Amino acid sequence: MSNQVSPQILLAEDEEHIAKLVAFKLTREGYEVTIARNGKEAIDQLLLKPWSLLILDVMMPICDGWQVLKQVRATPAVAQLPVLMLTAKSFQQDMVNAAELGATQFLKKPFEPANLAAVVRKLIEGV
Amino acid sequence: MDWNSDPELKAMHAEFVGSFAERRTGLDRLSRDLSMMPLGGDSAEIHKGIAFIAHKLAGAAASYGFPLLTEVSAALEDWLSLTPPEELKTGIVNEFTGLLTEVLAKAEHDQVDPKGYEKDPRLEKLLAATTHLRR
Repeated sequence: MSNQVSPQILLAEDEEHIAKLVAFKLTREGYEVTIARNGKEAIDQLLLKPWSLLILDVMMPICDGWQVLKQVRATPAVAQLPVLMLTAKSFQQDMVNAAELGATQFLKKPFEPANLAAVVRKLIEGV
Repeated sequence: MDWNSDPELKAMHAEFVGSFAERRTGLDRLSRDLSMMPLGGDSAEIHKGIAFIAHKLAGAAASYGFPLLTEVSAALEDWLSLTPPEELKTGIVNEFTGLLTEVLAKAEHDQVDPKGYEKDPRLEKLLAATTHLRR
């Protein structure tokens, strides 16, 4: 009997339909996905599980993705957590911000779910 | 993606399409509020409201198989980023939000990305006004 635990992904995304689609796709790929509806919820979740990846939307209510990323990099327990930023408008500026604040990778919205899954697999499993 | 390949996927797709009516209502209300200015409404709030609807749609629609919806809403969002709230004019805003509500209605009715808008003069105007943002 396998005791292997599925890699845990924290997904911070306020757009319900995107959150559901991403959770669906990644769950089918064998990951366990927890959804945070805004940046504050994401920060509250940070120390609750051994996350393998944080997927972070930029524009979110209460606390945006940049603020969450800053918090992650400033918290020793999760400072090395791989972070995938989902960027939309002002893509060029988002790329600069992502690099400066220490995002591991970024993906432009809208994305193909299969493409997202491939990026996630590479970030978590290196394949 | 084959949305009919899985019952859960099919349901999510239907739910997303089901959200179009509310987005259209939001756009119509904001356009109406703008037309009532200066008697009622706040141009900054109206600008923010339309931009929010456009932004959310732009970021999601193509992922659900509606690339034209993403193109139109992203162009509207880009145009709004170039147009300060105090410069919003009812006629042109109605023209652009009218295009988006029309495309939303057609997508909702047909359940697929609408065709035949490639040469729509409203879309061409929107894209021409914002083309430098995409270089």
